[in-house]
Amino acid sequence: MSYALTEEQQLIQQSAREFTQEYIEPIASVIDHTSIHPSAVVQLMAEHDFLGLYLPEEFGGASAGYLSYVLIIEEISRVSGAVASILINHASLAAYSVNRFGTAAQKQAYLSALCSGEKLGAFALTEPGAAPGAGVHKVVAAKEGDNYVLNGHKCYIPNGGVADVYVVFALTSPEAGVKGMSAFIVDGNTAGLTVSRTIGKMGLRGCQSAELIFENVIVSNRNLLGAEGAGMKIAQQAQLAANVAEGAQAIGIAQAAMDDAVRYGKQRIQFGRPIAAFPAIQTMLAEMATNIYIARLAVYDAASLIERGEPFMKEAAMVKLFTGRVGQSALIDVIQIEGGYGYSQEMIASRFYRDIKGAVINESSVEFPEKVIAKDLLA
Amino acid sequence: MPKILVCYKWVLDEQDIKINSGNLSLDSSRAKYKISDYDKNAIEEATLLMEAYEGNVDALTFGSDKVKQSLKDALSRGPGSVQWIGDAAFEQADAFVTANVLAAAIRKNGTYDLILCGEGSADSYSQQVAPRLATLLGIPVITFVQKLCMDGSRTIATRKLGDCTEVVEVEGPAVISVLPEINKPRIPSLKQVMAAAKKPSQEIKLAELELSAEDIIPKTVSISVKGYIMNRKNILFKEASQADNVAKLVASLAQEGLC
Repeated sequence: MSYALTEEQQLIQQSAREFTQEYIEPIASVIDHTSIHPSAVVQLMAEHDFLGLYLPEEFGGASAGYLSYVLIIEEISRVSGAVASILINHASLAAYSVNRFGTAAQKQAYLSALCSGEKLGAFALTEPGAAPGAGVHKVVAAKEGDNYVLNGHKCYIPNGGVADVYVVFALTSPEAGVKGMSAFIVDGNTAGLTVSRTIGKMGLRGCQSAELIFENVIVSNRNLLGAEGAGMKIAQQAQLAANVAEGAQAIGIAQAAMDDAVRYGKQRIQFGRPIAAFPAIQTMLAEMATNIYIARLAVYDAASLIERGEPFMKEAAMVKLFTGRVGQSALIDVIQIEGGYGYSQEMIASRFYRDIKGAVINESSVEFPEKVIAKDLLA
Repeated sequence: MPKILVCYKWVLDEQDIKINSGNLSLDSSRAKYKISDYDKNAIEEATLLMEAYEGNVDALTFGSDKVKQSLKDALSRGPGSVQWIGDAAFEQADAFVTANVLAAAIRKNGTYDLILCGEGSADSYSQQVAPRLATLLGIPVITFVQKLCMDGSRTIATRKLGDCTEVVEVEGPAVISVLPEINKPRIPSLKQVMAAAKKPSQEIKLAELELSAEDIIPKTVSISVKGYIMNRKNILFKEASQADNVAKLVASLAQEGLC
């Protein structure tokens, strides 16, 4: 299978590279050190149509396709995993859910604003218990007339506190467990929705994660996304679509880290030779380059399936599984090659090392990728 | 409503060219092409003028058969249409041939109020195309332009000259070559990239241009191209006294003309 990108895809990739080098790379370390949500960068991404890139033109998107979208995620990740996460949570999770499962009225009301970047999206699934809908603070949506009233806690919600629109999962039939879970579109400024705290993280700093408290949050039944009880299906589909973008994030981070290790290996002289001349270093570089190459093909293939509207669940799970392994393994070797230099806080390798873990563990909460793949194989 | 033409060159991206360490030959087998950097400034300036004065901008490029790859890139940066002349035989076209072909294409198209070029190309940087083009078209040229505006049929340009600047104005059509400081080329938004596919592009065949055989034979021929590697001098100062080491270092730097 060949992934010769079309002329348009190559231009989008080039444009994204120019954008990231101009606007994100110079401040990527600052975003990491301060953990502050880079709102100016998000605004610039909106102006360059990144926020609605693959979404339909009729709602203000660019209709450029999911493969073009993952190309952009890959480019952003080469300089900042955190900014890529902001976009993934907005586009692959929140906007994806509204686009795929929303009514025409919901799309008109929310998707246009998400595409233009007037509003930033977030995906509020995770709860403090073992699984969404399972803990003591589970979010429950009680029906009252034409409204639902939401109560409970969400935690580790990326873009939490900075998003304008949340896709929130809540139990409409608590007795049915996750099968009684439904999805809602909730405005960030709805009364009763508050951020109790933001959560400091090991990596992907700057993509703000927050705990949300829902206290008698009234949501109109017009904002029920999909049918009552369809929450789990919506969450799974959105997470798998996000898994492909996270695969692009992992290979973007791994590629940038490897490029850094190659540069370092050529410059660092030991025993009278650049360390890149030693077989042990070459073996590590060859291994990671091969893995990244293969993983990238898998990401592009899975993205193409989404773009063509074909089934993609198994492939997305495979991408999640494989790119995670490839990314983590590459970063371990990059730090090994760069030694104390790479280990120091000032250097990008250590940031990538911390970020890759976040790219791997995000959006694996509904079902582990292995389970999705096995279910498909054994069906 | 000025009618503006911008000329650009499609060149190898120097960042992708590797120097073979043995014979210093250049390996461009994996190099991508790009719009020459200063030509991006010219495209941006033409687009800014178009936006300011509600004119229109056409683009024109000439080069090898690879130039066709450049069309959408150029169109995503602002021009409303593009014309291209590309042939594998022109891989080695010099400024003489380039100016002859561009001038013939421009004559075929009619007149423009302004023709913009970059000051020099990213590969050969001969800085000759704009003056040659103006001469062939019989119109004035303004080079080294760092600021540009229009007032009716007049064009006012600020030129950068060594340690001073000069403001000049010209009436009627002119060729302008711009410096990189004139603007910061925009990064096309994704919708601009997508829209580029819908803008018109047209190939001009060389045969349509009625050029003589002499017009398309380069005056300058590249005999060989080699990479340049600056080797470290590896000088160690090992005097017993640090003061002597410092004195020797300073003397050495002075000898190199560095202090």
